Amino acid sequence: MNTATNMGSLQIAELTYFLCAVISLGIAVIISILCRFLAASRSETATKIDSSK
Amino acid sequence: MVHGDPMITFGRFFLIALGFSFVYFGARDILEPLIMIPMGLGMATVNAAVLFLTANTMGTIFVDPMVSDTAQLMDILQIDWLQPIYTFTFSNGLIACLVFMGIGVITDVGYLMMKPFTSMFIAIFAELGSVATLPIAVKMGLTPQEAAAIAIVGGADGPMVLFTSLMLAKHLFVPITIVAYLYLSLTYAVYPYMIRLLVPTKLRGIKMDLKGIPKITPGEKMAFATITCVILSLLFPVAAPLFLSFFVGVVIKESGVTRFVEFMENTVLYGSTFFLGLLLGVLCEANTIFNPKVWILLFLGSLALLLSGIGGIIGGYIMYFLTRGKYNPAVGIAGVSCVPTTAKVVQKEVRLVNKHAMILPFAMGANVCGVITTAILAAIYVTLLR
Repeated sequence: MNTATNMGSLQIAELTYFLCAVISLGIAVIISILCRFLAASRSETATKIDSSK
Repeated sequence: MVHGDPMITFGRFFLIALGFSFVYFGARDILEPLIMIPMGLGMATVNAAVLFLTANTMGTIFVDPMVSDTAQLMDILQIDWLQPIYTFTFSNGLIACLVFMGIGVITDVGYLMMKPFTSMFIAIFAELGSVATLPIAVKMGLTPQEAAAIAIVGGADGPMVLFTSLMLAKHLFVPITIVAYLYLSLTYAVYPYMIRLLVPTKLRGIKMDLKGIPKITPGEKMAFATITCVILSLLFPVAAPLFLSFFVGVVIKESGVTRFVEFMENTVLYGSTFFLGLLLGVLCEANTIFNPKVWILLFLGSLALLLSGIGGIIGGYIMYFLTRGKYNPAVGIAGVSCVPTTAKVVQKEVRLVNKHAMILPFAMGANVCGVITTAILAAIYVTLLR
């Protein structure tokens, strides 16, 4: 289905760029959250190992 | 060979000479050798090997790209020697997925995970050509679908161009793919001059701080690849085969299953790249290339890559100002996702000015993000325009 039938080429380009920027930055947010979560769980494991010694 | 339209005859001689020059420049490492050597030889040979197929029709027995009738295709599959590879891997986009798997295996997503916002920011700017070329192409008489298919050349990602043109402008996918790969190899030769032109020597030599970079474990990389693949496939099911191909390569690399890694890196990636180059070469037949629409595509393809390079450097300059001079603006051009060529080009150019400057991790981060942003753009185009 051609979703952009009633849109001009400039509008298509603008919408595409906007969506691309939002989704890409959304992925960057996910990566940051994931890295923080994994780093936190890693330091928690390290603390547990230290306290068990 | 000299029978028929004199323009086509001249074109054949020109393409034979061009094929020789591709082999020469590929062998000298001035153009990308992996694509250019098989492509150049294929191009020179196909334009020399013209024969009478019937009493009045001329052609070659290499490949017929536009055959669609099933009975005719069955005949041609038995005669044209590259037809089986073309029909079963090229014209259905399988080769794009295979190349993408190989790219996934050689890509270290750790670079992108080190500085996700900076890398993504640069990659978004480096998509300028993929977006700005679309309205220009429409003004030049292409349909929005054709315009989007050629605009995606600005992402400098061959498999993605193949995929988009197959989805949106199947009748033009042969010339668009030829134009795309021709120019992707030229980034190797042209982008260094663009960096020298747009980034002054003093800024090109900026040494970037590698101390604050966190270490990313293989487990973290696998988690990232799995989550991103699922999210992107959820958002753009139409491009899910490409997402899966890329991220399965990443996961295999990080899983450490060496036999799979070797298989994908050597057999899948280099095998498909070789046949891709050879097929692109034999598709460069004078009748296909000397079509007025191809000249428009040649212009738009170069414009898209030029604008993307400029966009990337603008992104680099913005980062330079935001970090108060600590970011090397030349890294911006690595946002153009020709993995890992553009990143290597930037590192080489920076090293020429300051041999102690190591910017490759940052350039690779932007480079990998470029693959993701191009995939997102292609998926949006296909979703909006299909």
